[in-house]
Amino acid sequence: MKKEKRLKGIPAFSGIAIGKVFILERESDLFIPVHKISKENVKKEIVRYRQSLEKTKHELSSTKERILKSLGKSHAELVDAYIKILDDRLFTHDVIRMIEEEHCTAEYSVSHALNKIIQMFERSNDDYFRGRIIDMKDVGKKLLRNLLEKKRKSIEKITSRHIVIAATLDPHDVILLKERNCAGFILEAGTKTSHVALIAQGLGVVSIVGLKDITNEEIDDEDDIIIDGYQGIVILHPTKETINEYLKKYEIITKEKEEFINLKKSRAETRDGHKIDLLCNIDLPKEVEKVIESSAEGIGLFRTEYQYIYRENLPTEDELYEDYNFIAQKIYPHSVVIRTFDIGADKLSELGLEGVVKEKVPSLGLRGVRLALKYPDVFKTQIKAILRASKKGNVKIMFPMVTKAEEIDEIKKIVQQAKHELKERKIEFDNNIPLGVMIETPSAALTCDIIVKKVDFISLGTNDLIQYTLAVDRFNENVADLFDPLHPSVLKLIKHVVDVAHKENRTVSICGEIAADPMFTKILIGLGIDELSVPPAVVLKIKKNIRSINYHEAKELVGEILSCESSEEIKEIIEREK
Amino acid sequence: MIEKEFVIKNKLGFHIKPVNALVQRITQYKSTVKIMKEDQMVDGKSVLEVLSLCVGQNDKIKVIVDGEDEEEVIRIIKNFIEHEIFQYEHQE
Repeated sequence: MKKEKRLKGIPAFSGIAIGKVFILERESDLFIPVHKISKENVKKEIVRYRQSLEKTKHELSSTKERILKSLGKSHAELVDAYIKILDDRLFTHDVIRMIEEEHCTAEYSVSHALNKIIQMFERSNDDYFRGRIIDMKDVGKKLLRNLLEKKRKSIEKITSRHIVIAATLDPHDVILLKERNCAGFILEAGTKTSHVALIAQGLGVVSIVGLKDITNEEIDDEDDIIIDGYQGIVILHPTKETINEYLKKYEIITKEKEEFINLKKSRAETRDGHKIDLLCNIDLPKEVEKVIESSAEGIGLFRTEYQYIYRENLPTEDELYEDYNFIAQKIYPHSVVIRTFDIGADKLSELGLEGVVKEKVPSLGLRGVRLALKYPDVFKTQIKAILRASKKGNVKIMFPMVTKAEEIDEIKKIVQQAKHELKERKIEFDNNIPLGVMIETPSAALTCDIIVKKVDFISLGTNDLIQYTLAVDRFNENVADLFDPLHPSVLKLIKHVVDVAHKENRTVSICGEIAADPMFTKILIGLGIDELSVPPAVVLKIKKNIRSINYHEAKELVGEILSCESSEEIKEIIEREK
Repeated sequence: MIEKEFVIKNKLGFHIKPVNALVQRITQYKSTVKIMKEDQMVDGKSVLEVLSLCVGQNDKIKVIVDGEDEEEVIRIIKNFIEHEIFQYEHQE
C-alpha cells in the first residue's frame, strides 16, 4: 500500500473531485530522438514540417468551431490566439530557415525556436506574460505530436470516474474531457490565467494546474486520487479515512451549490407570495458586475462620495457622467438610484473650494443637500451628469439629508435649471426622471406626509435616522452600545413613514445596514418596506431569508413588537421567533 | 531610418490582442520594424517576438523603422500606441 501524499498546485476551478488516476501523457513522451538530417533530406523535411504545421492549424480551427458552439466567442478567441501563434514568422520563417541552413530535424528546430522565445517570456514577472508561456508550450506540443506522429493515449477511454493527469492539455482536450464527463484534471503547466484554466473555469471542470512533476510521481492508472480545488491540493493514494472525509465534503458542497443556483433563479418573495424588491448598494462603478452576478434587481443606492474624495479638484461633468453612464448601461434594463454627494464641508474645502469653514460637529453641520444648496454650481454639475446618463429611463436621483420640505423645492429649481441647460445644449435625457429623498432625520420622518407629496420615492437611511433619533454617534465607543436599531422610537418612526408613503402610493426602501442584517428582515417586511438595498455579497443570504418568511406572520410580529416598551422586550420576541 | 521612443500607457501593456492588431496594421508595409525594450531587440512584425518583450504599463520602448514607407509606418505605430491601444482595455 502506497503512502498518502499531498501536493499543492494552483486551483483553476474550485470543487472537489474523487476518482481514479488516468495518466494521459508524461513529459518524456515527447522526447525528440534525432536532431540532424543530411543535406539531401532538407527539402523533404521542410515539406513534412509544412504538412504538420497545416495539420495542427486545421485541428485548432475545428477546435475553435467547437468551442464557439459550446462556450461562445470570448473563449473561441483564446484558440484563435493559438492559431495566430502558428501563423507567426517564428513558425513560418525561422523554423524553416533552421532546417534549411543548419540541417536540423523539424522537431528539433521547433523546440529550439520555442525555447528561445520562452526564455524571453520567463524574464517577466507579470502573470499575463508568464501565462503565455503555457500557450506556446501547448501549441508546440501539439505540433511536435503531429511531427512525431505520436498518438496519445486515447481520450475515448476516459470515463466519469477518472481524474486526468498530463503535462499540458490544450483547449480542445479540455472540451473532450468535459464531453467524457471526467471528474477533473491535473496539469504540470499552467497559471490561473492560462487559456486552459480559463476554459476549465468556463466549463466548470474541477482542476489544478501548475503542479510541476506530477507526471513523474509514483502513480499509476486507476490509483485512487482526490482533488481539493478549494485548497489547491491533490491527494495521491488517499487513505480510507481521507476518502470518507472527502465524500462527506463533496455531498455538502453539491447540496449548497444546488441551493445557490436555485436561489439565484428564484424571486425575492415571501412564502405567501409577497414580493420584495431586492437591490444593491454600491460605491464604485465597477461593482455593478457584482450586482448583476448577485441576481439583485437593480441598484438601490449608488453613493457618489468616492467621486469627490481622494482628489485635489472637483470632478468635471464629463468625469461624473462617464461613471453614471457606465452603471446605467450595464445595469439596464434594471434601474440605478444615484444619490447626490453627501460629503462633509471639510471634504469640499480639500477640493479647492473657498469659503468653507471647518466644523466642530460635522454630523450636525453642512452636509448632504445643505452643503449642495450652499454650492449650487457644484450641485448642478452633478445633476447634469446624472441627467445625461438617464436617456434609457433607468436612472433615478436621490437627495440625502433633507430636514424640511422647502429644501425639496430648492432642489427642484436646480434640477429644472440643469434640464434647461442640457436642452440648450441639445443633449437627450429622461425628462421624467424620478426624484427621491433619503429620510434619515426625525424631522423628515415626522413631516414625511408633506415631503412624500413632493417626490416620487423615498428611502430610509436607517444608519443616520438611528443616530439622530437616539442622539448617538455610533463611532464614539462611549455610547456605541446605545446605537440600537430596535429602540421603539426607531421602529415607530419607520412604521409612520411607511404608512404615510403607502397612503400616497409611494414605495419605501431601506438602504441602511439593517437591511443587510438577516436578523431584521422579518421585521422590515412586517413594517411594510417595499425594497431592501444591500451590499452585493449578502443578496442571496437576504433572499433566502425573505423566502423563508410568511408576510402575514411578519405583520403580526410587528404588531406585537410595536406595543413593546423596550428593545429588550423586542429582542426577547425575536429570540423566541428563531 | 526613423527611431522613436514611446512610453506605453494602456493598463495591460502589449497583450496579445493589441499586439495582434498592431502587427496586422504594419505587416504589409515594406519597411523593416524593430522594437527594443532595454537591451532586447525583436522583429516588430512578429506577434510572438513583440509579445516576448513583455511590455507592461509605463514601460519605455524604442521603435526603429527602415524602408521606403517608413514615414507612414511610424505614423501608424504612433497613432496605435497613443490612441487605438486603449480600445483593447476592456476586452481582455
